Amino acid sequence: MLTAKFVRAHAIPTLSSGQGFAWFFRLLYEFWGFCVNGDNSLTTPGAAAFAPVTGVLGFPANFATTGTLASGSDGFTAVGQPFFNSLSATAFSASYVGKHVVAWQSGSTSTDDSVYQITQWLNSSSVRVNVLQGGTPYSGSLHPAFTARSSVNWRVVDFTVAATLAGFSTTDSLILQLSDAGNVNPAQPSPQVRLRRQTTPNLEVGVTLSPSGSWGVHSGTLGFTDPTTELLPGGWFSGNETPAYVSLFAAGDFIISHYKSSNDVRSSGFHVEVPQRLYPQGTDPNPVAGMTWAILVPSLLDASNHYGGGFYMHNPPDGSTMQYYGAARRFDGFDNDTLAAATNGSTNGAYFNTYQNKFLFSDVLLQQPTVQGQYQLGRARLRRVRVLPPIVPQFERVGNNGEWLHVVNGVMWPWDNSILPYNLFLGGN
Amino acid sequence: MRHLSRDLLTISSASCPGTNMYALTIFLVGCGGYSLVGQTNFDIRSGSFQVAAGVGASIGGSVPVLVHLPTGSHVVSAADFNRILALRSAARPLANSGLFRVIGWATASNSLSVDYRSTAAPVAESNLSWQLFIDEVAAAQSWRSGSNGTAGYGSFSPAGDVSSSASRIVLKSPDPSSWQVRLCLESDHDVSGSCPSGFSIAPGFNGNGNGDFTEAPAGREPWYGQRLHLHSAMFYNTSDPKYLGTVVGLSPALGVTGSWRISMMVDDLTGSCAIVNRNVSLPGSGSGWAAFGLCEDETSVPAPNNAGDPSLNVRRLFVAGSSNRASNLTWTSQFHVDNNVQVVGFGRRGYPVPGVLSCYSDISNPGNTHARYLTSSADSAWTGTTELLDVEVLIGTVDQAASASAQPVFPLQPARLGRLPMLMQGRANATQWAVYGTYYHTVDGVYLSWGGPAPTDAASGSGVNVASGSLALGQGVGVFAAADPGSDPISSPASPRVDLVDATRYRKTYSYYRQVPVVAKVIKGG
Repeated sequence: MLTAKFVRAHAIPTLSSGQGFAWFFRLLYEFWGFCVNGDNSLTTPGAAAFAPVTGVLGFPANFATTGTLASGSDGFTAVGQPFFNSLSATAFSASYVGKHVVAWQSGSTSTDDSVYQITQWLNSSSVRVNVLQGGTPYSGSLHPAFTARSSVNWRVVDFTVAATLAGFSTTDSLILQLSDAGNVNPAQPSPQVRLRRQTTPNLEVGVTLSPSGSWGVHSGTLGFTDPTTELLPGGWFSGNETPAYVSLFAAGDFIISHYKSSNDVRSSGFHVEVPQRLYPQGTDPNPVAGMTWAILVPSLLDASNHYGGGFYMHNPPDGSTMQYYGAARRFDGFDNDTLAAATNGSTNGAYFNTYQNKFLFSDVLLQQPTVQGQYQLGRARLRRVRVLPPIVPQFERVGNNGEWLHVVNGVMWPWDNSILPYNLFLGGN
Repeated sequence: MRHLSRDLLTISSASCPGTNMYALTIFLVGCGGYSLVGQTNFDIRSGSFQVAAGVGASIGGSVPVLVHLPTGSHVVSAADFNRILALRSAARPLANSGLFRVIGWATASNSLSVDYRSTAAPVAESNLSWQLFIDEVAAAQSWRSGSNGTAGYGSFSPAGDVSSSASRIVLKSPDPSSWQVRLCLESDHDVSGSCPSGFSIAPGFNGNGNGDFTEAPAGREPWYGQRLHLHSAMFYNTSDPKYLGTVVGLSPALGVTGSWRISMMVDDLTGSCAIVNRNVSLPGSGSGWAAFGLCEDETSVPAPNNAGDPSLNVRRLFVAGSSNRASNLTWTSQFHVDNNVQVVGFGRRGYPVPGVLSCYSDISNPGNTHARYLTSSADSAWTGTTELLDVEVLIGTVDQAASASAQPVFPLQPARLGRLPMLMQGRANATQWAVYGTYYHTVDGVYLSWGGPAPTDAASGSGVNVASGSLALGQGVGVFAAADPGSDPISSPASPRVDLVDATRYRKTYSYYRQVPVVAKVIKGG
C-alpha cells in the first residue's frame, strides 16, 4: 500500500544504554512487519515486509516473540473513540497498562494501523490507549481517533522485556522490502534496505540499499549482490539513548524515522524511499534512495546532509555509491537565492497567498553535478518529501487535505491532516 | 498541433523591435490560426501587408526549394523577391510550416524559390495553406509611434477624439476561450515612461477595432466593465515608471537596425507561442526570447459551465519576455532587470501582477554552484543524452518594491499557472545554437522545442532526456490550500463562482456574505 501510516511521538522510557536502541528495533519490527505490511498472521510479519531469507538477521533468539503478551484477530474500535476492544472475554489483563497494542488489518490503508500505548485497563475486553500515537483524524476536530473497524488483528507487546534481552550484537539487522516499488515506477522489482543496529563503535543505524532486493545466500555468504556502501552517519546519541521519542512514517515504498533522545537537542534518523524514476526504465530500472543523520536537526541548508546533499543511491555506470544533492523549484526567479535561504520579512507573502489561503512549495530532485564523468541533472524525484521556505511555522499542515506536515526548517513529510494537541517532536527537533 | 518557423533571417536593414512584431504577427496569422480583431497602422490584411493568400500550394522535395502557388491566386514575379511566405502544413508542421524568405521565382512553374533555412531538403508536400507578405523593411514604412497626447498611457485610443497612431494589433487565438493578444510598438511617450521595451506582447480579452483592449462592454455580464488583460500601463492608463516591469515584450535592441534570426513555435489549438531571437548584426546583445498564452498542465481551469468566462480565463494567461530594452536568452527572471526575463500574469483580485519562471536550483546551493551552470556539466553518464527539466510559471512572487522599507506596488499573491510551454531548462554549457534531439539549445540552457530540420549552420548535439513535472502525476510545484492547525480543511472551489452570487438575493437567508466570521485557529463545529 502506498498510503502512509504513522507512529506519532512514541515514548521510550529510561533504559540502560543499548536497550533503548533494542526497543527501537522491536518497534520497527512491529510497525513495519505488521502495521504496514501485515497479513492475517498474528505471529509472523507480512510476507512482503522483510527479505524472505533471514530478513530478521541476528538479534537474540526470542527477539520477535519475547514480550508478546497476547494477540487476537477480533479487535474492534468505534469512530472517534480511544478504546481498543476485543470480542474475547479474556483478551486484556490489568497488568497491560503501559504496554502497547499493535493493531492492523491485512491490506488496510487506515492510519489506525499503528502502535499504541495502553493507558487504562477498563475490563478484560477493553483498554484505553493513547490514540494520538496513531489513529485517523476525526471529522470534527481532526484530532487522531479510532475509526469504526472490526476484525482488527492485534498484539499486546511489552517492549521493555524485548529490549532487555541478552545477546544483541552489532550485526543485528532488519532487511526491509519496499514491496510497492512497482506501483511507483513501472516494472520495478522490490528493493531492500538493511537497517543495522550498530553498537560498535557507536550506537547508530547503518543503512544499506539493495536496488534489486538481492538479500540472500550468495556463494555461501549471506548478503547482497548489489549493496551500496553502508551509510553510517556517526553516533546517534551524545549520551544515553533514552528517554526518547520516536516517530515513524512508512508505506510500501518508504520509511522515515525520527529518533530524539532527551540527551541532546538534536535528532537522529533516516529516510529511505523509492523515488520517481526520471531516466528511462531500461537505464535506471531500480532507483532507491537513502539518507541518514545523527544528532543533527533536519535542514535544507546543509550541503552535505539531509535534503541539501545527504541522499545516496547506487550508481550503475561506475558501480559506486553516489551522493546526491537536492534541487527544488525557486520561487523568486533568481538562481543565487535558494528556497532554503528565504528570510522572514516583507517577502513572506511570496510564499503564501492570503487571498487563496494557499502555500507554494516544491518537490525535490536528486542530482549529481560534481563527480567527473557522472553528471546527472535530475536522476529521480523524491516522492516522500516536499520543501517550502523555512519561515513557515513548524507543524503547519500543508496541502488541500493536509497531506504534508512542515516538520522543521522547511522540510515537509507525509501527513494525514491530523492535529495533535502537542508537538509531534515532543523531545525536540 | 505545433507549427515551427525556422530561423527566419531578417533583411540586414530590418528595424528592431518592429520586425519582431511583424514576424510574430504574420506567423500567428499564417500558421497559428489567429484571426484579426483590430489594428492601427498595422494592417495585415490583403492590400496592405498581405500580398496574396490561398490554399493548394505545394513544396518541392529538392534544393533549391520551390513552392508552387496556384496561378489563380497569385502570379509570381520579381516583385516577390524578399517577401515572406507563410506556409501552414498539416502533415509536417515542424518542417514545412513557418515563414520563408522568397529568394527567387520561376515564372514558368509559377513557383517561388524560398530560403528553407536548413541544409536538409524538405519532404515534398502539397495542399499547403499559404499567405504572402511584403518584406519587413517595406512594411516598416507604415509603422507609427505617435502618442495620444495625454499624460497617461499614450499608445491607445481611449476616445474618438483622443487617439494614438502607435502601430498595434489585436489578434484572437484559436483557443476555445478565444483569448486574444495585443502586440504594440509603444509610443515614444510610453517608452520613456512605463514601457521601455518599446514592443509589448499582452494577452487578454475584449480587444477592439483599434487594436486596444477595452473594458468589457454592456451585455457581457457578469464581467461587464472589467479590464481583462496583461498590459499594466493600459490597464491603469498610466505612464508612471512605478509600473515598469509589467509591460513585457521582446526588444533586444530597441531602435536600431540590423539583421537577426527569428525562430517561433505556435500551438494552433491553444494559441500558445514562443519566439527566440538570435543576433547577427544588431548592436548589443540582440538575442532574447518571449513566450505567451496558456501554460501546460494548468492548475486552474474553469469548470465547464464557466469555460467561456473571460474573467476566469484571463487568470490562465501569461507572458514572459523583456520589460526593458535589453534582454537576453536566460532563465533568470527578475522584476524589470536588464537582461533578465519578466513575467506577467493576472491576479485573482483583478489586475496584472508580475511573476517569475520557476526552475530547479540547488536547495543548499554550496558555493553558488548550480548544476546547470557548471563548466563540467555534461550529458548524462547513464543515457548519453542531455537532460532537460520543465519550467513552471509562477505569478505574484515578486514585486517592484520587495524590500523591507518600500511599499509594494503589487501585493504578493503567489500562484502557479502551469508549465511553461515549448521551452525547457538544461545544462547551460551545451553547444550554443545546436539541435539536441527534438530541442534546439539556444544559449545558457534555454532549449526551444524543435523537432524539425536543423537550421542551416546549427551544430548537432546528443539526444535529450526530458523529465516533466506534470501536476497530474503529483509532481511539480504544488500550490495547495493551507490548513492552519486548528482550522477547518479548505473546501474545493464551488461552481458557480461564489463571488458572483447576488448578495441581495440571498441576504435574507444564508449567504456567503453573512457567514459568521471565524477567527483563525478556532474550529467550526469541532
